[in-house]
Amino acid sequence: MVMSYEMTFTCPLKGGIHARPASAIEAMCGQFQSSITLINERTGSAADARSVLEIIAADIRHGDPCRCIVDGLDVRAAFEKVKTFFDRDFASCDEPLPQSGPPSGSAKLPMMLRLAGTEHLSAMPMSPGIGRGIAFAAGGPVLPAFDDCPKSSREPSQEWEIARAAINRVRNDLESRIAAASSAIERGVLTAHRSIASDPSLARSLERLIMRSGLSCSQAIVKSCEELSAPLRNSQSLLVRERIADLHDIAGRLNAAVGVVEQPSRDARCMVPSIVIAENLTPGQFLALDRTLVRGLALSFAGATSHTIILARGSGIPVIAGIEWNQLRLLHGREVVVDANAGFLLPRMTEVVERYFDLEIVKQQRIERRLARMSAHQGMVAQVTMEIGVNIALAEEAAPAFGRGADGIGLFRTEMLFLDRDQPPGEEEQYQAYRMAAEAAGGKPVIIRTLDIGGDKQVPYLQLPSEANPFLGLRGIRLYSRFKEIVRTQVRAIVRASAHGRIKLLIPMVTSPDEVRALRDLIALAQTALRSESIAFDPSMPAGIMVEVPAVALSIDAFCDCADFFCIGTNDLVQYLCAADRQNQHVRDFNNPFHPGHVRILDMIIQAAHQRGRWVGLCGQMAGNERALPLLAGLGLDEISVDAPRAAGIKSLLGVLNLGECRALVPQTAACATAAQVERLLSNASISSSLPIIDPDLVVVQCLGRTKAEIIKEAADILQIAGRVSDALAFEEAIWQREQVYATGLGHGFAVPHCKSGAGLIRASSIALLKPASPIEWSGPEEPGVNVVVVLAVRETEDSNEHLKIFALLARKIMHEDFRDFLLSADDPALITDYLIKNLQLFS
Amino acid sequence: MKIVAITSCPTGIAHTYMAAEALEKKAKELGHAIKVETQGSMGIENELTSADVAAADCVIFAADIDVEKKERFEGKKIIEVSVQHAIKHPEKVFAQAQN
Repeated sequence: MVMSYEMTFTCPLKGGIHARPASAIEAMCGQFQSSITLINERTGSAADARSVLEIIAADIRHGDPCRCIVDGLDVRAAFEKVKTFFDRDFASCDEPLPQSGPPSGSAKLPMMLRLAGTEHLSAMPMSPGIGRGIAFAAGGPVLPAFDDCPKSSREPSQEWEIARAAINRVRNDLESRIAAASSAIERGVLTAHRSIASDPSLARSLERLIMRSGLSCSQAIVKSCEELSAPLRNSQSLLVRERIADLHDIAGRLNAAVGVVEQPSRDARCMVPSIVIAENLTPGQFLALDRTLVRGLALSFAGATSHTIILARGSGIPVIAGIEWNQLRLLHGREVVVDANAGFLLPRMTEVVERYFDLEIVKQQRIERRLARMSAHQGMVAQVTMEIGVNIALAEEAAPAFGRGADGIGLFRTEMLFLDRDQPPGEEEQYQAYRMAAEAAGGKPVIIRTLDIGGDKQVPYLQLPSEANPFLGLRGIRLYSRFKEIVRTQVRAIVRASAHGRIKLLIPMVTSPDEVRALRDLIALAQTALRSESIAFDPSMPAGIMVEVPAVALSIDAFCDCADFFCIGTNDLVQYLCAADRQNQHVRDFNNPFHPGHVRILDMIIQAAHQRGRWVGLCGQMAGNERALPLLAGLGLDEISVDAPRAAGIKSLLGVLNLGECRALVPQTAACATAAQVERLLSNASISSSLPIIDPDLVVVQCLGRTKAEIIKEAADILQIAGRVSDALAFEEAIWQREQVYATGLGHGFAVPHCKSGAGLIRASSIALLKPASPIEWSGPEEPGVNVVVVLAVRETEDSNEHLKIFALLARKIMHEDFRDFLLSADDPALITDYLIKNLQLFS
Repeated sequence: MKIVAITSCPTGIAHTYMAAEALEKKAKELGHAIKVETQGSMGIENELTSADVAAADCVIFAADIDVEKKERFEGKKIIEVSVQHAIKHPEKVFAQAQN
């Protein structure tokens, strides 16, 4: 005789049973056959413990008395588990939710905004830049009204089959998105969506409406969505109410899966320069916007590699993410500023905000001018000639990358063309994409990597075998023998595109020269075919390999015959070398590119390749890490490829490096015993000693700043642009800290703000001189205004006092009238620089 | 008058030396002899010897932090002013010294 077992407990959770604990309960029940029912004794509502939606709808709050009834074939085992769960584990199953972004108010606002008490919302920068416009809410599928849904024209059982298939498709699609998710936030949201899509009460509701009430799929979807949302609307918990949006999202996907076309979202197009705000935006929705009017994007969530973000980056549109939708939606119609460099949104256009925006625009212009000069090598002699390439995933990103000074496309990740669709892209589509990138390059190289899937990149329509260890399994070129047609098509498209620019073909996950030769055969076949069809191509297109398998790294010479060049993939190389999965948070600290073993192997690879005259580039997160740059330069790499937003900063830093010092870093770091030692060495490295303490770039007459805060900001920006400080905001903070302690106004119209800091912030000791158009209040309203601001950035260093002597001399000179008079009246940066060089005895 | 002085400001980068220069300049103007020791980020420079101290008519401390090796000046008349004051009003400092 089968009995039912019961237990009672009081809800211990402060936030009640909302989505997360409901999921924990559902997961716990999943392994048993018995029915498990949760009853809220306060309200009397009963919930199937396998349905997250029903549990949430039961609205169990902190302190509510609850009963759990277990009944079925495996009742004993099930009940034991249930009892243990509620008695012991339940109270701790509600961890704090991962924050959707930094809490408001924690971002360090630039001083000029802080002093004015400027309202702001912190956010995560996703695509750099700053923009201003009217906030315009967009995005989100809108469910059709019930009356607009098509009626059923099929037998109920057929209709239900379609609905069931749709649920499966949506679930599978979510599975692959979860696997491909690049951020914990994205993964979290998608997982919540998946559990709703899998919720038995949703399926039950659809079945009932279709089979018993004779509704069509989309009618049933819309009605189910309404019915299931109703109890959630009454909840006191914001977390529960947010699930309504999730339900709508799933309903939208289901509708699409049964073939009902998505309704266009609220019809309004931006008519003025706008900041588009949305919970999240699909690439299609992004592309539908009039991009000439979109000055910025603020999303509640978006992963860093989401296609929308990639497209936005490619269009040069600033994007921030992480602001809760309930806050964001209130901004619709207001003029706001999105600062996606520092990471915040300014919801009110005050005078200070307008000034800040104007100063930022000027900063961008100064950066662009400097980049342009560096590209043309006008008057800038960089010792390090390593090239800076940019990584792209879509052809549209190429033109903006070159516009920002890229020396080439170091890596065109073609798998993006294959993801998020039902079937692989055809030859013509691929050819057009590769051609676009080649033409945008204007003669500079474009490295196109053939399809690199497997591991963390899954493509549902290819039905890859499931493996216990995908990173050590079928990836990259290892899969090519299974998808010969797809590979042939891609190779042919790349070869055709080679007619339009300097294309280099790159092969991923190579382990042996045989693999390379097999691919070269495919290239030759494609070339032969094209020749006979009289279609142009570059017969000397180089083919190279990724170096990510450690065995390859240690036998580069064996590959020099079949590979024309090498590209070191540090993400995977480090992962394999340190035996630490880069997606596993538990071993995050082990996966460190600064491990001395990795440094040694990089040196080995580069030496071996150069010995045989082969070019070596490097791509991966390490390339964009400023701390690693001197080491990478010292190792002698021909090129490093970075994500677009990092290119400008890396290039400006490259311009100030001393090659000899960088080279010296190689044996020093290789001799370290730990990654921490390597990192410390690099932090303190004296790599910019060749930079003069003053140069005309650091002298600004007729500067823009009109207040003390504005001038200090401007000086910090100038120093950052010139590569002398690593972070303008941090430098600004340091100057202000000094200001609180000690007045720097000297009288006679001079002020000398200064600060001392380590090489992490101040790369090279520098003197900047700014002259405002009119006197600035500095020490207080009664004191006379300041006409010359001399900013001293002093780098702490164990060795010489050389710079301190210079500053001391400068300090003394300022006490002399003739010195001051010259600076007060001069308005030519070059003359001012020469005067300072002479008077401070700065002979190089 | 024979004067010795010590200047010392918190960061020791600029004001220490500006005060030194201000005092040296003003002393020259007024016809006094002066030797100024700076206590800055480079440490103690132009250190005052016991002979210097013994011969001095007056000692000036233009400092915002504790002066190092104060023992040297035991028994001497010391005028203590802030660094800012020495920079902005060196003539007042010397006027004080005269009295």
